[in-house]
Amino acid sequence: MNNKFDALKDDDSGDHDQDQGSQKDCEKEKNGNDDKDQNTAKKKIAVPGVGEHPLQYNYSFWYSRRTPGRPASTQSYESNIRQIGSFASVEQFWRFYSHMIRPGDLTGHSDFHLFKEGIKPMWEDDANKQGGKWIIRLRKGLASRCWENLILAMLGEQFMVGEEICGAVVSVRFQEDIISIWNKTASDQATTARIRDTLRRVLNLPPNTIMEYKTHTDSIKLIQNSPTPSWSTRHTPTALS
Amino acid sequence: MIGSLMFYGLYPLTRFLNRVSESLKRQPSFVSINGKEVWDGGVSCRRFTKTQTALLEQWLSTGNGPPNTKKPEREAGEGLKENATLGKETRKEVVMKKNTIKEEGPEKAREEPVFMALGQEAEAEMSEGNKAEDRDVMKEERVSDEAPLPQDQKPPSPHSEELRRYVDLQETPCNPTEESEDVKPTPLLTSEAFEVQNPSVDSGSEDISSDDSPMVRVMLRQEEEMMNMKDSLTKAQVPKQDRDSQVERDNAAGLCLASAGVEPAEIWDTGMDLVSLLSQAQTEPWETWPQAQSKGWHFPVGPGLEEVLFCPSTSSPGISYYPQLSLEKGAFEVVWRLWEDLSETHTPEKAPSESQALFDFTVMSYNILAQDLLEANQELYTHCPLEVLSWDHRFPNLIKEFKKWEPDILCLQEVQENHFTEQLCPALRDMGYSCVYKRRTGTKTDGCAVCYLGHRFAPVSESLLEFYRPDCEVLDRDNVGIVLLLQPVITPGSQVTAVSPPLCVATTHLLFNPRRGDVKLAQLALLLAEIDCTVRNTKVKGDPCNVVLCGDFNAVPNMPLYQLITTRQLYYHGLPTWMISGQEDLSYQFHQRRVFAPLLPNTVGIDDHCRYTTVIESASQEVASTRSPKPGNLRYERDFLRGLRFCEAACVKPLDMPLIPGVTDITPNPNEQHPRKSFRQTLSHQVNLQSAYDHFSLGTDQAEVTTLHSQVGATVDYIFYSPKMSCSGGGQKGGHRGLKLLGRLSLLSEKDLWSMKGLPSAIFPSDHLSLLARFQMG
Repeated sequence: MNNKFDALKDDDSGDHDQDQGSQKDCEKEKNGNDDKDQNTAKKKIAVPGVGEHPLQYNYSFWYSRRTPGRPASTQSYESNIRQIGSFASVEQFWRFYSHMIRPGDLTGHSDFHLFKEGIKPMWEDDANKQGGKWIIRLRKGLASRCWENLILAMLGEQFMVGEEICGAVVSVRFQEDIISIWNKTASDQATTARIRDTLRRVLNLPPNTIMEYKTHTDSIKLIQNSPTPSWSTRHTPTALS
Repeated sequence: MIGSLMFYGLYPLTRFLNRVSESLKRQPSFVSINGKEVWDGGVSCRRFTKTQTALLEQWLSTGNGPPNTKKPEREAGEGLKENATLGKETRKEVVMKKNTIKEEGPEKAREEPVFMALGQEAEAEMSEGNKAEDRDVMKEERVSDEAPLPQDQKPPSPHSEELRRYVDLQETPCNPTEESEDVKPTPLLTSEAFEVQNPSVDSGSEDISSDDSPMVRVMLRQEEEMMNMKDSLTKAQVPKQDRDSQVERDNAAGLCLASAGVEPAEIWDTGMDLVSLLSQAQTEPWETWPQAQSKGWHFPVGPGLEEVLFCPSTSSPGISYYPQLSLEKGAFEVVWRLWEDLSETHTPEKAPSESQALFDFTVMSYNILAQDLLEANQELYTHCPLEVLSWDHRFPNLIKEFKKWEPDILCLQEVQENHFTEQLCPALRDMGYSCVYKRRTGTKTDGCAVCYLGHRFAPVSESLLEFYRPDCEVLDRDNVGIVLLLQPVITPGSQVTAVSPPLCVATTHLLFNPRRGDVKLAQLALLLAEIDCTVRNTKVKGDPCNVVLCGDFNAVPNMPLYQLITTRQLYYHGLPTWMISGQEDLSYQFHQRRVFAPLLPNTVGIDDHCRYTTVIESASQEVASTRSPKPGNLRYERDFLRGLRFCEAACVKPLDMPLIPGVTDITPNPNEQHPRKSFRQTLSHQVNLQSAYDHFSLGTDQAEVTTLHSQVGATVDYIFYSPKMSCSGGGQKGGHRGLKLLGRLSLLSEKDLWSMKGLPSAIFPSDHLSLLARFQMG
């Protein structure tokens, strides 16, 4: 476990935002500081391979982990999250997914994010500004299965809400796990209702599962009103409620 | 409860002996029954408490609050009357002495002629029961829907509708004065089955103090209902603008007059007779039954009989077969169960299909309760009078119900083979139905049947399924299913020009055993595989068919088995087997059987997608080919995506993937390399299905039930259908796909049913209700 933590400290110290475009530093990530966060426009767009099953949208996997006891700001949130990679086809998705740990086996305070390529898993992103998310809290042991079902539904365009879906997050916490799906327009009730209904269907949830919708503006307010903004409080609304 | 305790506490032994000797004189064959019945009353009451409490708790917990703990007071009041205040009143009544009863008696008695008059009208009405009238009824029901009903009088208010209807449909005004002439308890009991002679005063006066209290309660209840009836009657009348409205008003007034114009002295005379009446009431019905009904079969003398005789209600021993039956006879079903029209554009009842070039049809699913099963499980029907349990009584009622609704497709469960071949099939054939029957395997005598109107549907294929597989542990039960493929018939000359796609109709009756959800799941998987195969075969021919799956699934809504049907997948691994159907909460049990993957061994030939293993390859080919060339909307089903998980291209680690120890250093699990080959922990299927019922009464949070007997009331019967897709996605071609739900026959809540003395009853011939839905195709 020790070296895992060490590695993560390295992650936090500035080696972030690995992406599809910077293939060269995948093996030697610690030197790979050449790509800065803002350069999304420059990134190479993922394309489906020959004979592969293309997805409606390209997506990116992200991973974030809370560093205990570290004061944080928006910058440090951004620096704590790193992109794992982008894909454009079903086969490419499985390439990433099969080589990633299942969320239920993650330790500590960490999250997987799967967002459409070009949308950062942050409230501040243009696509998310007016948006919100459905939150489902899960008891321990369900996260892996629910996460897989959730992202397969998203990739397979099962939500049928046009371009509304932004991405999905699974947050591993101490006593529970949380999955959420983000959409663009929080005020669009028809869309949010349809997302909720699809969630119910695809996740095969027990009937008493509580689902909660939260707008990102509410989440931001919660942070701003908080006396001591820290990484954890800043991040908590994203994942915890 | 207090009342009944007092009742039995006070009951003098001399009365008991007296009763026995009386009965001996009158009716020797029932002596012991009566004797025991009186003495064992306490037992049946205790039993009532237990079962009724469970029902009540269930009923109460359908609201927002947490499940109620046992509240004896409430339960006594609610269990039968759903009226706590009334219950309190009655209990008070018992404690009070004779003079109170004197006052109450007349009030009660004066209502009786009204009941009687109504009862007679009802019978007269029902015997005619032609179609035109039925239409009228439908009209009436709609009107009554709009009429304001008193909120706190929910249970009684339908009575008012009924009352209104009788009056309404009547040709000649009733003659209330005539009825009021003989205001005695006698007319109260006047019906073919319950003819009771005017009782002679042969019991001592000391009996009255003990015996009249339950009687008073009976009457109190009637009074209460009657008052409510009148109350809502007047309200309901206002918006009505029918041709009969004047007549109706006149009649109602007449009835009121009749009930008011009763002389108290006369009533009190009958009140004095209450004792003897009670004793009569407990014996006479048995004596006066038609021979055929009582001889066909009978309960042995024992606890079952005692409880039937000694009605499991707190209020009165006589109530279960007491007067009101004559009123209810044959009428409630029509009035209580409303047709819910769900089509946005309100199409008239007649000829919707012809005028719109669309194919409409109705489907009924009905567990008709096999007589053999009824007799084998008599403890479930102790609340019923014996006569309503006889097949000779139930069969005509069933036919009446079929004739009333004339469903295009009729799916029946618990059809006893000899009844089918000798009675049901000929009767249905006369009505124009073609029938397919499958008896359960083993020594079971009942089975499923699908009947369809020959002029609406032509058969394409039929498969009769047996769920018993000797080589499989979870498929060791004798249940069966039927899957039919029907082609809608286009009537020559009609305007239906488009060829409608075929319709796959499936019905089954899954295992009852609430502890063996694993068996139910396996049986359902077999049925779904057959449906899938049928659908696939039609798709190959170019016309995707619609699906209607109905029957008795012995599982309650939203529990795992139901979820598998409606959400198309279920993670079953590790589930306690009782939970799968959810009929009973057995979570308290120390040892819980659980279901583990694989649910079915490979030898069964069905995979975890509920498909026959032999067609998998071609099926997945088909899916792939329809998906890829569509650039517009790239939709993929979960199972399709999972199928690519370990394809060659997906097993190579992406070069650009950062190495995060513990996060991205996983190698694909070799155990999962061949997911298709083994039965995994999730069961899924490809048939898009949705329930035609919402499982709650329209606009309320009252749970509907489709079955009810003395131990449980629940929704276990369903009509599932393949709904119209809102989007054209999914790769299926054509706008034919999907059925539109146009309407359905409303179900009832447990409370409503208990207020009608549960199931089966004089009106409802089975311990299940029929489900009926109208669909549109095209």
